[in-house]
Amino acid sequence: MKVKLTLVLLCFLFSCQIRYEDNERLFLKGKLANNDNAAVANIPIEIYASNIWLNVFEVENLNSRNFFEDVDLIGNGLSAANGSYGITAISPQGEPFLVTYINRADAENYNTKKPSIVIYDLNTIPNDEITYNLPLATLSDIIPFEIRVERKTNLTDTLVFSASFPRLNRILNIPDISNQQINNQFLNKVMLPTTSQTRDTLQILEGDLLTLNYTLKNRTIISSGEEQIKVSATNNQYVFEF
Amino acid sequence: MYLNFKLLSLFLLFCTLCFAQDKELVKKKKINSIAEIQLGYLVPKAHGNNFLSEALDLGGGYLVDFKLYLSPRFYFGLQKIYFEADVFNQNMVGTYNNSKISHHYAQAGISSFPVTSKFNILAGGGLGYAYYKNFQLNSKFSDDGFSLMGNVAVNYQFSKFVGLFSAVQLSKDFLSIATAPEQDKFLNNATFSSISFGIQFQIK
Repeated sequence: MKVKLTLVLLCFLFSCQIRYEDNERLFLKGKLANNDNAAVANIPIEIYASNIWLNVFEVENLNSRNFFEDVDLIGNGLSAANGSYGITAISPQGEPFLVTYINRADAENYNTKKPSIVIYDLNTIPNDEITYNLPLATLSDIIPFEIRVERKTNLTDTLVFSASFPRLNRILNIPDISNQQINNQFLNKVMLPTTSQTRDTLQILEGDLLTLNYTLKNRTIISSGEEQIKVSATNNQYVFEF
Repeated sequence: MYLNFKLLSLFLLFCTLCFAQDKELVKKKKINSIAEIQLGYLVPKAHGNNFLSEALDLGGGYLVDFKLYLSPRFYFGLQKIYFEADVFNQNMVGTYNNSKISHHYAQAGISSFPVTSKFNILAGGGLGYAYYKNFQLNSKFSDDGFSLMGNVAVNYQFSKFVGLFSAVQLSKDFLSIATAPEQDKFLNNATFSSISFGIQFQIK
């Protein structure tokens, strides 16, 4: 009982409730475009504030934050027809940790055909403490890409096949947005001689590069190769026959 | 322009009538100071392109009004109005849920008949302080500023002490919220009208 009570007291002691400035509103503006630089409209944009520094994993999982952290949604809105947005937000006191979450999966008006993007640590943007000019965020379409592997002539060898491609959700690091944090996702398959066909559909952003690697084995490596494909709405299928 | 001219003419006519009747009355009897206290229910409505009309859903509130007549027709006094509002469009104002809005005015005005009349029409104006207390989930903060108001009221005194009143009031708030230039006008200017009605007490 004493331990529980102490834990509860500790929770209150270390919880960082955010307080807000009187007579002050932040204004955060930016633009969304796809990989062809065309405007992306009606995408939900949320601004979060925390009194403590959050790592990327915590930012990406704001709904499952732990009890000690106090994270508040301070402003939200949608991008306009020309892709621009201007979000009015209440103004936290002190120097809070600020992030912009674009198209969060649980947000109202979430667009399932677009990825999520986090613009991380807005505090490093030069600003007048009221207006934040956010960098351009690129939201390409999510393309379902089909990979089909068919055994046609080779009935004895084992195929080890892998595909690597950037994960959908992106982190834009401020101020160096060229330093995008892009982690790769992988698909690994082993096709035994008894299997004649496999088919997989990947979710990849239009314009992203898909790297395919294969190795044919039969006790030793018989052959191997690599191919790169730029994914687009028309280039959305790959068939590997052997 | 034409509307302004009409309003000005009506106002001048009203003042002329008041002055004419005032002189007549002073001859008849001398009136000591009279205090009037009004308590009423208030229904506000926001106007224009500003945060109050575009993002807040205004609810009913109350009015407390104190007038002191030092002459049969001229009064000055204090007024407090209070109402609450829910934020229905957080995109425009930031993520908070509701506001408690109060205004305190110093006011002065004129009545069409002497204060001792059973029925009266009053016109007045005031300047004062607007205070918006805003509530977020776990926290609260406030906005404030300067406010101007003008009103017209009718009242009926059905006994020596007690009467009824109804008033229409127009208020304009000039808040002092620091924000981006493109949001300044939208967040700092608010206009609302209100209709109020209730009970009044006269203390002679």
